[in-house]
Amino acid sequence: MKNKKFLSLFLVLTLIITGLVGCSGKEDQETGGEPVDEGQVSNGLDSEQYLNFILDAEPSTLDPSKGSDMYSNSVLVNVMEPLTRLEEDENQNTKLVPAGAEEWEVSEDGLVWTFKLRENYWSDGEKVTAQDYEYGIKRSADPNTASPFSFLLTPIKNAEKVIAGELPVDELGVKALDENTLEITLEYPTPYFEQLTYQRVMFAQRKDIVEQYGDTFGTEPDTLVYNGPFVVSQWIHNSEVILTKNPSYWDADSVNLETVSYKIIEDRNSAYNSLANRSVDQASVNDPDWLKRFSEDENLNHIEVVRPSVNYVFFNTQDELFQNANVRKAFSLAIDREEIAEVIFNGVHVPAYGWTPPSVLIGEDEYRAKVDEPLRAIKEQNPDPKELLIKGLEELGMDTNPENLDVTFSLGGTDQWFRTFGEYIQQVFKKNLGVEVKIEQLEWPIFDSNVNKGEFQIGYMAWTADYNDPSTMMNLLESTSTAIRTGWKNERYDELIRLAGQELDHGKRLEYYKEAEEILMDESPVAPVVFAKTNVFRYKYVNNVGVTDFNTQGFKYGFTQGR
Amino acid sequence: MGRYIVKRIIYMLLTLFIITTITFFLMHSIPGDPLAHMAKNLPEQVKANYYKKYGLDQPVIVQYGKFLKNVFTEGNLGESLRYPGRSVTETVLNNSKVSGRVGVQAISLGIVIGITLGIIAALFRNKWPDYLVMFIAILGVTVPSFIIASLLQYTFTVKFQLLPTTGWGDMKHTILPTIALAFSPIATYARYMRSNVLEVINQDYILTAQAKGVGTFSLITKHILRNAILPVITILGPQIAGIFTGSFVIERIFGIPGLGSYYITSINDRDYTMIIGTTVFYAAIFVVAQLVTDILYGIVDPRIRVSNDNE
Repeated sequence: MKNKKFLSLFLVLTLIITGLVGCSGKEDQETGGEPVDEGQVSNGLDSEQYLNFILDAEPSTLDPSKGSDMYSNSVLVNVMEPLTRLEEDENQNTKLVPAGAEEWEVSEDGLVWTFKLRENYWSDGEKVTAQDYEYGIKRSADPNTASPFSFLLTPIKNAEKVIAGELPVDELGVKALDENTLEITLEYPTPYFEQLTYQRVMFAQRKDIVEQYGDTFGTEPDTLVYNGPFVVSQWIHNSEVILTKNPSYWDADSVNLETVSYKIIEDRNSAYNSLANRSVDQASVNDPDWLKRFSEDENLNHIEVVRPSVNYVFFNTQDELFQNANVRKAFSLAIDREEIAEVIFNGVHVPAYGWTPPSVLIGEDEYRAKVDEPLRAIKEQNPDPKELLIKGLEELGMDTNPENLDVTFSLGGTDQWFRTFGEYIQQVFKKNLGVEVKIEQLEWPIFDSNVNKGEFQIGYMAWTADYNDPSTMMNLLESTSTAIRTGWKNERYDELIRLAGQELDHGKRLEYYKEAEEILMDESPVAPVVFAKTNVFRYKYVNNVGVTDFNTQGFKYGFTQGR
Repeated sequence: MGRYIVKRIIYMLLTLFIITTITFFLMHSIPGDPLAHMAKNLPEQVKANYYKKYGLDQPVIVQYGKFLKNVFTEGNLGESLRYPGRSVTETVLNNSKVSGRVGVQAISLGIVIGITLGIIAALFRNKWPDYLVMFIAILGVTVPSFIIASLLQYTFTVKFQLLPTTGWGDMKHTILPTIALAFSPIATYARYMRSNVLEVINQDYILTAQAKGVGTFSLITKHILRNAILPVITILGPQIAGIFTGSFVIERIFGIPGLGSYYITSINDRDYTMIIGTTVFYAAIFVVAQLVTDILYGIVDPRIRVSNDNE
């Protein structure tokens, strides 16, 4: 860890120094009366502004309502203008800024949000109106659209009933007061509502275009109109998506890039080869050999990106054995998180002792910076997980010899990585608990289906935050949620989540979530293992392009200098 | 001959129908649903809306009835579940063209080089060209295509930056994938050709031709090649089917928008409509290729034609 800190410090320093040297060099050149390098214009930017990036998979659809994958999201934030955007600074901190909305007001009770729209135009010349936003949001909530992310809209008045088909879509609390004013009424004061205003289910959509293209809306570049910094000019399915600057965008002056090509490359080696020969300007690299190679390349910036994602083990609390909290806790504590991060994840990911991952903000602050990870304390109190297990078995009135336990660990993957992981975890439980665990490797959809039917004992999965607030993680374990099928119920936990979900004061919310997370770790229906991280390598001439999962600035401010 | 072909076509359609029906019920019997690929468990209501929209809430037999109705009345295989709004028929046809282009190039290259190498090996039997060709052939058969593809990619796009790493559009994008795909056919044809030529070369009529003073070149092209190439047509059939379905690995490595990946991903994603689409397509191409091979065989080899007529 320390080494990495030094490394990043070193990289930042070299970056600054080379930046300074670069500047002075150019000044020399100019004062020396020599002609400016042909590839550069007067402000130091390359005269040709373009980027080549990688998309790990084919986007499912550009229909904002229908898709749910991060690949289509990456494209959409660049070609559509949400009400707000999350922009990030050089330290990967994100900040919410006005985008499609110029400003907004919230009523005193926190229920009515009034957005004043900016003057912006669609790529076909039509004005972007509040009606477009109203239509877009309503279409996403409409059960006939079957939008997978419609659940994000639940804080809006009547949303739950509309999604369930119990109320007509018109009853949804979204109304265009006039062409430039959008009013959204909430069901209850929602502290994280701002974080929903940049989600795809709240994008503006053009009724005439949606109706014209019907089901094929969003499947090809010409079945959509755009109101963001770029437009999709070409989409070769499974191969490439090309974005070009949108001249009718309200902030077109801030957009430097003329074209951005997203190359769809699923194969990791192809991605690394592409980075090595500069076919692409950035790639995320987590393979140890390539990591070493690219770290040594002085033309590349190495950016460690904390992802709002947790890999976790989860227990079926309806199971005869795992109904007991001490048993679950014993299995959780038996996992050596430091070792697993090093051995299984090649030191890329970081050990997780809490549920909410780093980089998630509560108000202005990072949640993890304010709240200690509760499992650390629990681990100190219980140095021997085997003791806990025996205690739990006694409570259950079962045979207290761990060797006689019959436990199956289900994995939702059949490749080599899962095999290694399975063997490792088997060995860990044998060593630390004396339990002989059986490993069951299943194809993902079968695993998913078994878990949903409650036919499992222990499983392993990952969850990535949907929006930037702890509620996106904490709500998952509410007893009414079906997101993680542990079957776990805790009244106090539910109450805390409900309180935190409707409290506008972030200080108080922090306290609620802190207590809730402590309960969660103490009861251990889930056992966080690692928080995800990724290593991004980017050529030094690339500037101002967002890198975090949450950011929605995309390529808007990007430019190249010294390509 | 005409009656034979009509009969074969009726059998083909029947085969296709049976394959489609079996696939339909098989794929619905494996656990998992098309929302699983999201790797997120959605709220029940959202799932219910989705199932309803795509008719997945109904019994499989009802879904099957609807599917048949769509196919026979509109010739429509439906909309992909994984890529909402995309027509399965169009996806399959468009992507198979891409796969087809690379496939045709690879097979052509494979046939030309493979046959040439096979003849050379046979003519120089047990001399160094023979050993060299057989060495190449063994490599081509044993080394998996993804390793060859990776090697080619590293060599020609990273070490020597001559060709594009991934992508699609120009001729240059097809060069590496064509070579990578051609390796295995080259090896197969070379081996087949070598043994066939060796067999033919010892026939009496070759000796006769030689005795009559036929030149080496015309001896090879007119007398040896013609007779030795027959069995090669047999293996051509299944390979034609493979041309349009593409290769999962090669297309993935070179970012080619072909059909290959859909065979694997549609099953993993439980994209039911796409599974049926790709299956029907492959089955159709396969049975047609078989028919073409049989007819071709009849034309080239008189003995088979006679037996068909006798039927």
